[in-house]
Amino acid sequence: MNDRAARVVVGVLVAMFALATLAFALAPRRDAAAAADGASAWRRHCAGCHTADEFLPRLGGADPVVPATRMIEQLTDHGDAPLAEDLLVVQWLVWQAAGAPAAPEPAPEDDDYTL
Amino acid sequence: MRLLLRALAWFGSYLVLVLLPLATALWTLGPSERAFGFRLGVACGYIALAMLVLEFALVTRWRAVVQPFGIDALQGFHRRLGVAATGFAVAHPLLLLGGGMPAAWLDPLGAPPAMRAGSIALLLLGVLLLTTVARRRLRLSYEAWLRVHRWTALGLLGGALAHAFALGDAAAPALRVLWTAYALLVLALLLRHRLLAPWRAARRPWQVVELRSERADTRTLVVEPVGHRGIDFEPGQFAWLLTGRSPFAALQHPITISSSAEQDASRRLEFTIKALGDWSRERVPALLPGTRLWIDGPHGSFTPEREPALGLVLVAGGVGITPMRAILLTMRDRGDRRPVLLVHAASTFDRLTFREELEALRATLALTVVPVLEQPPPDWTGERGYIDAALLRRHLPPGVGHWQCFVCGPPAMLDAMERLLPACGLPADRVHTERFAMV
Repeated sequence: MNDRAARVVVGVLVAMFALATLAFALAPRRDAAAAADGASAWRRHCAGCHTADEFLPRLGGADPVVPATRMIEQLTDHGDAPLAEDLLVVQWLVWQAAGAPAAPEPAPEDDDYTL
Repeated sequence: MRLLLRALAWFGSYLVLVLLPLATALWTLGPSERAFGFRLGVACGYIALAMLVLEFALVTRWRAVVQPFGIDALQGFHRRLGVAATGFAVAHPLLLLGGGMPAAWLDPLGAPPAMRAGSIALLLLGVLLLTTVARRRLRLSYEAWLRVHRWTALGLLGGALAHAFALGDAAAPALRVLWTAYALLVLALLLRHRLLAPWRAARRPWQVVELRSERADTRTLVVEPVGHRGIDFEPGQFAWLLTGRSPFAALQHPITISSSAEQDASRRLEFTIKALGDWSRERVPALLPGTRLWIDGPHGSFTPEREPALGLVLVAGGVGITPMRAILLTMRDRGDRRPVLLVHAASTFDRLTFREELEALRATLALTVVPVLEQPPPDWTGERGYIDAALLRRHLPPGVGHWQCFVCGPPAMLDAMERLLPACGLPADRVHTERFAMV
């Protein structure tokens, strides 16, 4: 294979990879599925001690990136959830603050007690 | 045709293996709510990691992969795709920063563990790139560069895989399984290259019979197999010479086999080596008769055995004459009387390696030799300067379009011949070159 042909092959491959990254970034959002993941992570790690209303005022507004980022930083030192779960939780809270239709905060499990 | 189909199959496999993690992430995780730039950064990370894993596969010397492309083409892919992978790897954190990731997460000391592994991988990638691009400026010998290259490549891949694992979404075990499979692939390739191949070579040792001085700072090393029948090869192919205490700790250098492929009962091979770097200047002269070494080969597709041709054009610059010698000696031993034009370029008359032997071959072959001297003696009546279009047109015979052409020499000469020979009537797919000056 001569040098020019090799350069063409590499160029074609890299172009295809670049297009694939664009396709990934532009893929239409599946809101319900993503919200369900975030809600599920919230329930697993946070709902036992917190309600979403404690955090929503911080994450509202036109640009939630900065407060969301700060929250992620705080969460990495708080609790024992892995980073990926922290990101899902904050993402879900941002959604809630924006008022987007999303899965509601799941109710904490009822204690089984008798009056 | 079979080789072309195999090449296409490997091309397709490479494409699928690079895109598989991205496709898996999209399918199992679904797209995120984050900004476009952030999602693009994540995608670049997936592509970069998959490409970096497969960089190991491109230099594995696995015959099934090498045969359709030629080993020099695979090394060229390794270099160019490595640069592309670096681009995707650098775009990954830059786009994430733009999408809101804290800059502190790039700090290899202060970032959360998952991010720390990624930052360290990025640093090692920078070291790898710098030492490769600026090897000569840093005065790194080839052997030292190779050691740095191997260890930084391993380190960066380990860091990048750890980063991907740590960030792996608990809801997407498919991604973890995939990264595990990729890690196992790297491990298998490493074991094959660093353990299996040297172990096989250790069972088939060679020893030096003679070390002969030739013109132009070259030496011909003659070796014979010890306890086995040696190797079969095609004229024009090369092999890695492994010198040192054992094949596990050996220095490896690719050298063309310069003897005839029609071997006699001794099964001896000859390698003609020019004194260019530390190994060829210092280690090769110490290869005295009786010294043990090992051979990994043959490799390469730079041979006239694979394509039909009514005649051959051989263009050699400097030590590029060595595969041509093997081709011509093989033709002599087979009684092959196809016409051959050899254009042999050198700086001076005294640096025309194998000059007398090539002249003698004219008695037994239909061989025309055209020496081209950069600095000819005063009474020189032959061609002078560089090989250009005018010179080629003077000497290429009519009907050369049905011949095959093999060019071996410095990179600038290869570039020029790939441009000039098709313009002089030789179709581009009949012009074969082999490049090894990668670093």
